[in-house]
Amino acid sequence: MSDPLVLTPEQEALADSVGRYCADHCTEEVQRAGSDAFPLPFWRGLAELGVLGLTSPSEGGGAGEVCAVAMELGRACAPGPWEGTVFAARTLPDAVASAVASGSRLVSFGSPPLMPWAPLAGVFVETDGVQAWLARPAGEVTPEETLGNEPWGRVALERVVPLDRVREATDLSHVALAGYLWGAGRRVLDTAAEHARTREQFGRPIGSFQAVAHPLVNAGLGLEAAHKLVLLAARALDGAHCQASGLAAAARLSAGRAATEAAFVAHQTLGAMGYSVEGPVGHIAQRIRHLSVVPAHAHGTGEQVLTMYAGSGRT
Amino acid sequence: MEFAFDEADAAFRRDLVDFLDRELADGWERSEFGLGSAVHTDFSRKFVRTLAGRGWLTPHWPERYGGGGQGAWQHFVLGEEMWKRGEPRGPQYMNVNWVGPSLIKYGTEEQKRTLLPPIARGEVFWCQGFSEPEAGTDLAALRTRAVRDGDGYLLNGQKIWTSYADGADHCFLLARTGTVADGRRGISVFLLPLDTPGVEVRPIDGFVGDHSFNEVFLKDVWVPRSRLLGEENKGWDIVRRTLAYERVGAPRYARAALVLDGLADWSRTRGLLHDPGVQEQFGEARALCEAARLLVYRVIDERAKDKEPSPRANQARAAMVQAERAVGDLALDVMGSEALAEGSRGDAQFRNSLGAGIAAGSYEVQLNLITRLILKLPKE
Repeated sequence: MSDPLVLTPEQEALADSVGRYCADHCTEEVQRAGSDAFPLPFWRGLAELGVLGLTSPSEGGGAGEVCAVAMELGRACAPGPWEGTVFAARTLPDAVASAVASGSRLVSFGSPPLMPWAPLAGVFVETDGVQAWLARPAGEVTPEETLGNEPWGRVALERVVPLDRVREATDLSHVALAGYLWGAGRRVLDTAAEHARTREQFGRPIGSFQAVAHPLVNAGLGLEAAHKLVLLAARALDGAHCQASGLAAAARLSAGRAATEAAFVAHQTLGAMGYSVEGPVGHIAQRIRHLSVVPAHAHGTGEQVLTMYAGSGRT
Repeated sequence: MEFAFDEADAAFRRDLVDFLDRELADGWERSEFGLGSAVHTDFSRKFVRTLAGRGWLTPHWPERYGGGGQGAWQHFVLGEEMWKRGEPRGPQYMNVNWVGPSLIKYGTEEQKRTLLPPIARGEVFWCQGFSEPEAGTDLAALRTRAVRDGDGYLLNGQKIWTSYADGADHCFLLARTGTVADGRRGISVFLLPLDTPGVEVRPIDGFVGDHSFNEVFLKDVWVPRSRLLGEENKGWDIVRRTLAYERVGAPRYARAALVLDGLADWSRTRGLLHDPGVQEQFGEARALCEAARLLVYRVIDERAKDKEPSPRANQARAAMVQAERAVGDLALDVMGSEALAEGSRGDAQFRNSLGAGIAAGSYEVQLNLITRLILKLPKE
């Protein structure tokens, strides 16, 4: 590998603008908004930055751009159907895709009956991980509160039309989720490390105890590795490398595992402060654990990774 | 050491199971999900009186204080069956497991006569005033002051993460009667009625189930000398013993094993149990639950023989944490998205397992104690 594994200057600039927007607008209130109070103005602001339509064929945003944005959204613990939006913008017919890109319709993306964001969604996309369909509800949506504070719902779907570009959209959605999880994991670990530096017990900062320090280090190593893997997967996708799909799937699984570990370590470091609702890590840890669960439509992700060993990935 | 239950214990368990089947048939939600919720606590208030009526709230206490004069094992059988059902005694498990036993061991006759019978009748709730903002794991750094004042003490300070304080009648409170430099030698235990003027309780929302924590503020709270437990400045010895009871007081493995059974049913109906990876995970989680059960039994065996609390309690506690975490991970892995719905087994067990390694002494502290007391390694 002769190139350093970093974002391009253009991707960095995109990440900066999203990061600045989130710093100003993704307030604690926005991050913690209950499922009955989705912060639509925040989401529409992302649309104005071009984030929601990034992957539409006309925009031509690639995995590198998705990755750059995703990491910032994760760090900010930004709410919204990010993974589904990335998938939908790439696959949906233009008219529907533009409603998604403008933030006027939210996407519910998954396999029924339990669908993410269903109570608020204006567009339903069903997938089994291989194929996908634009769909519509065939009945009422029954809302479900969830661990990660996302409004989900149970609903039967009726398939309307099969969608194209499913493989590449799936790869991009893996990178979208992986980047988000990495960013969120980095944030909880940074918070925990700061706590370990400043919280004193037994007359010294708790970070000076190896039982506290080493788990933080190990979780950090996991995140570093996941970070490189997400960047590598993005580059492989944008360069149409034969193992790109496998790398994207691996990035999703690795980032999920690393972020989950970071959240767990943050909880042990912060003690009871970690599980108070108003505390600094609880809401992020819940979102991480939520997003790290492999949904039914992504059950092929592990096998996708195996294609790298067989050397039979996408060309 | 013999772990077969004798016929009397087995018969007791059968009676208890029948009783619980009847009493919990109506009005009791599947409450491994709701420990500490208002609904749960309300149910508990009625239930513990019924239990007390049968003599099963404090069967292990001496008869003259309202107990049944039974042994440690019967007490433990009781705890297991309760936790399997999601602990319908609610916050009462603290009273019967360690508040009462501490009073029996260290209390004056007057304290025993006035404070024990209401517990035995199921009429009162106690909470535990230990942690403070600057004294969590390092409990001996606590700063709440108790200064002699006439025939009593004046208390000033703050407690935090105090479970059930919002509904409790009394607090088993630690305060400093010596100087901070005295460390653990300057701490005393007070049996504080929470309706004393100057006590203010403010809830803190938590996301471990519906359980809420509290801050307890003490401003010029006067407590009579008759509410000091044991000797002044000797509170740490009481706490050490109390914590040994608390660590294994809640047989959390019984709840984890119950959740595991539910997950196995869930997986079986969906044809997931054929997967060798899933089987292995179930096997490992079950083994951890069973290991925790046996390590807890070893501690109860010591207690039944009236031995001093030993570091085996720390081993048992650590094993319970491992079991709860394994079941939590399994729930999310096996159930996938279905685990994310609030109130599902996956969601509930994940929340429970997060708290497991922190409440009643962090997992890391258990490991440190095992390192020193069992492996005999030098202190860091």
